Amino acid sequence: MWITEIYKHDHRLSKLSPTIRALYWAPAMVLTLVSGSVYFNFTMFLVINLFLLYVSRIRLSNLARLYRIPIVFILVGCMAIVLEIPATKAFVSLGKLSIGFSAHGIQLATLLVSRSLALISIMYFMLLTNTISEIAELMRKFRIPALLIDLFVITFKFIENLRNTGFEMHRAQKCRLGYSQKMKRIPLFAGLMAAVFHQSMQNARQLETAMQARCAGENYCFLQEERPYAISQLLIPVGLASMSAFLLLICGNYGW
Amino acid sequence: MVGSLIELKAASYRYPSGKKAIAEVDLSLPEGKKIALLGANGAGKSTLLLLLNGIYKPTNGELHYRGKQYRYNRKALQELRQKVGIVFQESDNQLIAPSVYEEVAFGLNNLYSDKKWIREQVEKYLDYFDLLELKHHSPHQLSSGQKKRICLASVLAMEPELIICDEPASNLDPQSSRATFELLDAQNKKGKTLLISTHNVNQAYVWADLVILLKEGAVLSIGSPKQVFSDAETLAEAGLEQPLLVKLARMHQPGMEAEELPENEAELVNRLTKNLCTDL
Ligand SMILES: Nc1ncnc2c1ncn2[C@@H]1O[C@H](COP(=O)(O)OP(=O)(O)O)[C@@H](O)[C@H]1O
Ligand SMILES: [Mg+2]
Repeated sequence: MWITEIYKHDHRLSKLSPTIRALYWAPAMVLTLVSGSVYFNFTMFLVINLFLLYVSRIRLSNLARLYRIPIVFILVGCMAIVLEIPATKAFVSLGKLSIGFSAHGIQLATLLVSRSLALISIMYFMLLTNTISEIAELMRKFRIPALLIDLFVITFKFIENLRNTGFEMHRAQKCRLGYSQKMKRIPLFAGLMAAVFHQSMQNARQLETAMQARCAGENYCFLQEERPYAISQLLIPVGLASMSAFLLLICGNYGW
Repeated sequence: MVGSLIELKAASYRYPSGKKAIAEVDLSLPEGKKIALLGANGAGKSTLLLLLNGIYKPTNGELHYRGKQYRYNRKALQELRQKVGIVFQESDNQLIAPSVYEEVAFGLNNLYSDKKWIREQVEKYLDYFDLLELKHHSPHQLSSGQKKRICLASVLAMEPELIICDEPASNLDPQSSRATFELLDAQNKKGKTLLISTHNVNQAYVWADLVILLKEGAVLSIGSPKQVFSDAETLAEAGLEQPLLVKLARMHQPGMEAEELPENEAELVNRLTKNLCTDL
């Protein structure tokens, strides 16, 4: 699953300029970064995902699938924090070694999990309501060095290219009945990876040629359609942002 | 007498791998014509087209545009690439922008700085190519025919004088293929020169004003479609066949001169029915 496959160009924020769109996700990001409250983070995670489902018009199953990989990474990371050896309250002991959860570790891990989930959901919100060129344009507006922007765009494009090539080749192998015998899978997969890299390098080169043929300079510059600004467009994002800020204040006040 | 737009003078190109793809080609492309570059797979068509756009620099020889020698510095190349637009064979390797609108604006945005004018130009071409409804779509999720239209729009929006299409009809269905050629012909009526590479002899025969036959990077023959296609031996040497129309006409009248060959299907049928009537 790759973002551009499920991205819907007619999402509900598409009429707004990317700058206004940023007002929907940027405050949430700042608040989540400064918040030390688990409740606030989980609330944000929930609200943002609900809002995202509504705004981006993608299906719940697709959104859920997007979370598969990050969640695995976060959980694996948290195991290292949570486990305590030797433990004060062991639940398993191997010989003299007692393994258990540390209370402090659990606290830290929940905070970590909640914050990462909230931040990831905000990132998905950004990626599913902006095309790559709109994000690049936004970065340009915020005076982020051109080199970094290009690097970002190229990386994104290259992953996309790699994915597409890989997908097609994998399908071609499958059609010729590859992967049906278990023992042959690994060499097939290795061959696939080699071919994918070769092919996507070639694709990348041809893309580059096609861009040169249209006078591409050193920067990836796209011209988007103009989207009109209006003060009224600020109402919803500012309202949402102040509500979240208020929630964070409450959480902080009660020490949740 | 029309002047020549591009001239190649003993131009050769050797790929970094050592493969000599173009060998000592002397060629002059007349302005305002529909030119077909014919050759089997691997004959060097794509390489030649890329030479014309200045993407590749000939390892030997010279290229001239309107009598002036190509210069391969940045500014001259910008100018040249604006005048010589190239549509690649694989649309997927040409489409880069996340939306159709940005794709069509891409070349213009690289060339000019007047954003307002660019936007007008983009809208004009989107409208002309019937793409207005798709303008927010991602080009990668559209059909091959639509992709080809986007590629054409993106190149034509730069208003080149010479429009190059590398195998425009490959992987298009007959209807999309016809639509593509109609769009191209409309540009030719406006005075633009068209250069198309193909291995489809039937299409080249009825479409082109001038045919260039390429084999292993060298020009085998050049001339009007009737001249080139009447010579079955040279065609076979290039790995191609005679067009069906020529074969049929020759079957009917074995010694037919090149100039007497029928121009299109209608003409052939007319002649046959006329003969039939006189025979009766
Ligand atoms: N990037 C490349 N590197 C090395 N050789 C190439 C490359 N591209 C094409 N060739 C070789 O140059 C010759 C002409 O190729 P090409 O111009 O693509 O032919 P055509 O378009 O007529 O099918 C072929 O023999 C091909 O193998
Ligand atoms: Mg080719």
